[in-house]
Parts: sequence; C-alpha cells; structure tokens
Amino acid sequence: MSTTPLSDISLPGLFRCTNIDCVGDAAIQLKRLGVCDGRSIEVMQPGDPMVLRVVGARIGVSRMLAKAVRVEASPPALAAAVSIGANVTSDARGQIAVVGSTKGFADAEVVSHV
Amino acid sequence: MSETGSPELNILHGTQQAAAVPRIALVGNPNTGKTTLFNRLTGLRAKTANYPGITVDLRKGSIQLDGREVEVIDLPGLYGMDASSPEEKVAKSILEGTHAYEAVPDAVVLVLDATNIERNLFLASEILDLQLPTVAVLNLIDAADKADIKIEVNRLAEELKCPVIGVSSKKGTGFDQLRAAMNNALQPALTILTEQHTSCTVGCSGCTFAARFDWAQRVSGSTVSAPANLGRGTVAIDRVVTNPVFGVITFLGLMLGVFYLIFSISGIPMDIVDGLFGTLGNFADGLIPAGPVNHLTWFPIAAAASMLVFTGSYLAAKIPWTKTSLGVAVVVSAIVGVLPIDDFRSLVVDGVVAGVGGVVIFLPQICILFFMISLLEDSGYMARAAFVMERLMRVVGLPGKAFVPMLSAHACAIPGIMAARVIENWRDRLVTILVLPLLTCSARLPVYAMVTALLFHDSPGMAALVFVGAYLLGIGAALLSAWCLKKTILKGEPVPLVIELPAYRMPSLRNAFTTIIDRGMSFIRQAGTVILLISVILWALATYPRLPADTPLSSEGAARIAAGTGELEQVLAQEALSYSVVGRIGRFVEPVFAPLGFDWKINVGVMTSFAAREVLVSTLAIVYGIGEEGAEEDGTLVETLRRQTRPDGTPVFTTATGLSLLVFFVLAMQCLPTQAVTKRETGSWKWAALQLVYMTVLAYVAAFATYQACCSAGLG
Repeated sequence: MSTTPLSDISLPGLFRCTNIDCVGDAAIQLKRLGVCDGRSIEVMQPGDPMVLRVVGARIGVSRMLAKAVRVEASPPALAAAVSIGANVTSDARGQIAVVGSTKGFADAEVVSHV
Repeated sequence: MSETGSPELNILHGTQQAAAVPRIALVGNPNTGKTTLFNRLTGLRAKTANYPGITVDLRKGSIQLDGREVEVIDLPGLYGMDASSPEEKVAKSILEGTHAYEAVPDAVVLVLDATNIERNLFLASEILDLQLPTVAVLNLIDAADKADIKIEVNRLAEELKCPVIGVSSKKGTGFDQLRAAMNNALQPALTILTEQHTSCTVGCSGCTFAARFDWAQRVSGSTVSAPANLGRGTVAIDRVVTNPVFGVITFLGLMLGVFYLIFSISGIPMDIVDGLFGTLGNFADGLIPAGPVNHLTWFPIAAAASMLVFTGSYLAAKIPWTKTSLGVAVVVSAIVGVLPIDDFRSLVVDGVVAGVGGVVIFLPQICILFFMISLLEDSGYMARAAFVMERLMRVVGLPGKAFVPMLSAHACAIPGIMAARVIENWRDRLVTILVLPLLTCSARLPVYAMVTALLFHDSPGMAALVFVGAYLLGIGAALLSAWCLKKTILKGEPVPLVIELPAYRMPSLRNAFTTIIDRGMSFIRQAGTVILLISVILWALATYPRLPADTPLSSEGAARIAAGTGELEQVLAQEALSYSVVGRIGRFVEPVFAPLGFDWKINVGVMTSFAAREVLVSTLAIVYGIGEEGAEEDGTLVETLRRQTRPDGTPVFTTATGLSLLVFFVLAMQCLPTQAVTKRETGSWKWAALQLVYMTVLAYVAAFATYQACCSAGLG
C-alpha cells in the first residue's frame, strides 16, 4: 500500500502510521502522544496545524511536523465505522478494533486485519 | 525483570526512606487534574519550593497519615520519562533520584484521568517500571460516571499490580480511601509486581513506545468501556474554537473580555492597596518622634527596627544568616541608627513604604490575571489558544504557546513571564521572556497619559492615535526582537507544535484561588526583598547629600517665589533633588541624553523610575517644583511642563521631546520587579542583564531617531 506524508492529507479520515521520519524532541513528543509506527491516526481537522485523534485523545500537530509522519489509508470498512461515530483503535501489529458502534458494527469488539 | 515477560516479584527494602518525613510524589500526565488533587489533599498548607540554579518550582504540602506527618510533592505534569521541557526534566530527575536537592520519593501517587485511561497508561507503564511503591488514582471519576464510562477498578488494579482508587478532586470523594492507600504504600518492604512491556510490533522493532501503547491498549480494552459518543461535545466546540478564522476571533474576544475585567475591577483593590500604604506611611510617620531625640536611646530603637526589616527580608528571600548577610544587616542597621531623625522618617515613609507600595499596587491586576488564566487553563481552552495562534507566531520564530504570555504582559509583564512556563522548549521560552517587557503594561499608562496630554491636549484624535501607536510600537518591537534573538544568540527553529487538546471541563475556582495565593505571595516576597533594597538605594541617591541649611535659593528658585509660581516648600524640594546624587548624575549625563531632547531634569526622572516606570510622573512633578501632590492634580503637572524652557528660551517639551520621551518609555526596561522575575524564571542574572541592556539600547536608539526625525521635520 502506498504511503503519503500526513501533512498532505486534506480530508478527514482514518489512517495508519507507517513511519516517523524525524529524530530528537519532536519525534519523542509525537511518539509519546501515540503517533508512532503501526498505530491508527484519525485526521479530524486537516490544515496547519491539524487536529488528530490518537489513543482516544485529540492532539494538535503542526504541518511542519506532520511532514515527517508517513501514513497509509485504512480499509474502507474502518473508515466507514469512523464516519458513523465508532471508536476505532489500533495496535501496532495492525489489528484495528472497532468498539461501541451505534449502527451494529459491534457492541463489544470487531477485529479487522489490515 | 523476567525475560518471559511474566510478572515478577520484587521486594523493596525501604532504602529510600532515610528521610525523617516520608515523601510521596504526585505524578501524572498534564490535564489529569493532578494539581486540583494536590490542592484538595494539602489544602492551603502547600508551599512553593525553589532551588538555587533551578528555575522550576515544586509545590509541596504536609498532610497527616495515620497520625504522622507526610510530605506530598506535586511534580510537574509529564507525558513520559523522555523528558523535553525543563519541568518534565525536573519530574524525571526526582523520580530517578538524579535531582540535586530532592531524593527519590518514598512512594508515588500515579494520577490517571478516568475519562481517558488509555492515554494515561503510557506514562503509567513507565512509572510502574520505576518499582516505587505506587497508588494509582482515577481522578475525575465523577466526570467518567457522567459520561457513562464503565471502569472495572479491581481488574485495573490487578493489571497495574497496585491499588487503584477512584476520586473526584473537585467534589472531594474517595479521599479517605486514597489517604489509607497512601499510608499503606509507605509501609516498609512493600511487595511490588512489575511486568515487562515487550513489543510485538512489526516494523517497529525495539520501539518501547509501541510496546507501551500495546500494553496500554490491552489494559484499557479489558477494563474500560466507553460509549460511542464520548467527547462529541468537545469536538463540536472545537469545530469553532480551532477554526483558523473563528478560532482566532474567539480567542481575541475572550482575551478582550479578560482585559476588560482586569481594568474594570482592579481599580477598587488598587485604591485599597494605595490607601493601605498611605495609612501605613502615616502610621510610621506618627510613630517616629517629631522633635529632637536622645541618640543613646534612639539608636537601639532605630537599629532594632532595621534589623527587624532585614530579618523579614531574609526570611522572605530564604537568605541564610551567614557572616556576610549578618554583617550587611548589622552595618546597615548601625547606619540607620545614627541617621538624623528627619532622614530616618524620610527613609521609612518615602523610601521603604512608598517605594514598596508603588510596586505592590499592581498586585491586584496580577492576581486577577492569574485567576483568569487559571480558569482558562483548567477549562482546557488554553491549548486551543496555542493551537490557533501557532501559525501566526511561527512567522517571528515563536511557538503558538507564546501568545498567551504576550497578551498577559499587556496587563503586567510579571504574570506574562510566569505564564511562559507553558512553553516546553527552553530556547523558545527564553526568547519569549526576554521580549515580554516590551509590551505595554499598565504601569506605562500614566506616562503615556502625561505625554499625550502634554502634546495633544486640544486634539483627542491625535492623542488617541499616539496612544495606539505606543501600543503598536511595543508589539512590533517585541516581535522584531524575538525574530532577531532567534536569528542570533538564541538560534534555532521553534519546536513544532504537538499539543494535547484535552476535553473541556468546568474549571476549579479552588485551583484558581490557590494559584492567586501562590503567585501573589511570590510577588510579595520579591517586593519585600529586591524591590525593598532598590527602593532604599534610590531613596538614598535622591536624598543625599543633603542641601546645607544655609544654602541660598538658586536664582531660578528665587524667581519662582518672587513670581508666585511656587511655594517655598516645593522650591526647596526641587533644589534638594537637584543637589542630590541623582540630580548631579542627571546633569553629568546630560550630554548623553541631549540627542534625545532630554534635559537634566528628565534624566533625573529616567533614573528614579528605574525601579518602576510610573515613578517618572511624580519625579517630574518634584523636579519641576510642583511637589509630589501636584502630579495628582489634573493639568497642574502638564501645565508646568509646558512652561519649561531651556537656557536659550526654547520650550523643553516640544513635540520632538515628548515623542522621544514616549518612545523611550515604551521600549526601556524601567521595571525592577520584572527583572527580578526574569532572573527567577531563567535562573540567572545574566539573562536579566541582557534584557536590561538590549531594551535600554533599543529605547535610546529609537528615542534618538524619533527626536532627530521630529527636529528635521520642524517639530523640535
């Protein structure tokens, strides 16, 4: 699957982080807030800075830093789940869990392999 | 740790419990309500501890657990042990035992946000790895209940392998259980179970971040269930307040409201403070004998009073009684003891009381500003303010987080400098601190008012324009200075924004009041020490040498008496100031300031307002012979200034001189409390000195350019 810099994302959607291409404080700040390899990132508000949802929390990230984050699109089913308001989380192995959907995706947990 | 990743048993033998009073540290992510919890635990008994050479303060408080005293330390919030900000580094160093003055705590209270446990578990995993006796607190448990978040507390305790207590710091629920758990954690040889956080991450081998997030997700997934619509309210509000256009408008509107509040309600408490210092001055005046005194009986009284002031100052500044400090106190007190009674009266009333009072009068504004900032921070809004201002501030090389301190500095630079603590990157924080005093604070307003009334009394439009121009000049100079500093001595791109946008919540009034007390006391301590010292020095320079009693009046003074434009008392005060060290220096430096259009009398005003710029107005009133009271009478000072002429008969206060004076006071440091706070926040007088030097040079050059340009344009 092709990857793209997070800064190039212009529409809200669900993505998976494939690489963090920076080092130092900035990389550590990103990673400890949950933007690290393999994890799911929901772009809530594109722009500069952009609003992301990671590990259940919203974070603001400047475009300069978002350039260093490479992402790939998540499967359509999961993007659809996000669009109807399901809470989506993913672990670093690529297992993405949809929890508490309102339209029957799952009441407990649905696991999709990416 | 076990290589298999299974829990293993560790026994802690209480090696860190050597201190007489057991110590418990509160640790947690920012925005978990940790400080509210600390305030609830310790009440108003908390103190701010600071250390030599370390700019980060720690809040500490004593509590009673099972009849024994325990010290609770509120560590700065941190996202992980890979610390980046100075505050995080201090928290990390204490937890790891590398702090210069604080030992490893005997136990840790790990504060988790019950409304977002998964996010907090990343730090939790690192804290648990430290193998300190730990109690996990699910703070904001009431908010979690309200949001219908179900947490299996017992299962979470099994996963974390430490007690887990749900509390509401705001409502005070769960604190009995928390105190009991804290007490248990302090028992010796506590059994600790730890778990290795191995990573199975594909493509991220060895990445401890992924490993810990895996663990956090697993633990959170097995112990917490949250409704699908969690956080929708926050998202809806954020659509407006993080919008590039509406977000900026909202922010500016909010800050406008804050400033309106500050300026509309601070007048009453400021008048009260002014009145209190006036009463104190009169009271002190009444206590000092009016007539001649017996020096043998007076000496011990005056010297003891001086020693009492030294004791208070040393206590406030935490200066130990060494040979040097004791020697200074004894020598100065001996000198105070032999002062003539009138000089002693002047020292107490004009030097100590008026000097300190002139600065403390701004305490209400500072407190109200801190109160409002605390409420906005607690509500979660401040993160959005930094978010929306990020792009604009980046143009001058500063982060978005620098904007709130810059706005605060328009009331007073001191809270602005303290608010710069939100900027994680040390270099960005330093640049912000260095440029903040260029922004127009309220102490400049009397000077602006005087100059605009002097130049444009019959043109309100021009007066308003100049007033606004002065504000814009301050803003422009601050932004330009920041840009220059980032390109020269503090080189470096600003650290790009990565900021958590926490859920909105109702702010805590209790926290806000605690902040006021804490910051207010810090300011008063400054007033009782450095400001007191400089006030006394300035008083001495403006008082000595005394004008000999038999000195005839100067021709100018005699002419004023003859013409009926001045009373004898006013003329004598004018001549005494002229005769003093300050007066002599004013004349001596006249060639230096002449290119700015300043005569020696204005120079005296510049020097005496070194500690507090608003003093310029009252000094000019004295030096131009209308007495200090004259400064408070509408029009009197301005009329007097307008009449002043140079030896060649031309008026002193032309448009060129007025604008030059205005520009000088927009840009010059002229505020000792700010210098003291800069030293405190940067940990070094070096940065305070740089601030003083660059601002003074900038003020001089800009005032010079203004004067010369105006003269060239025929306004001189």
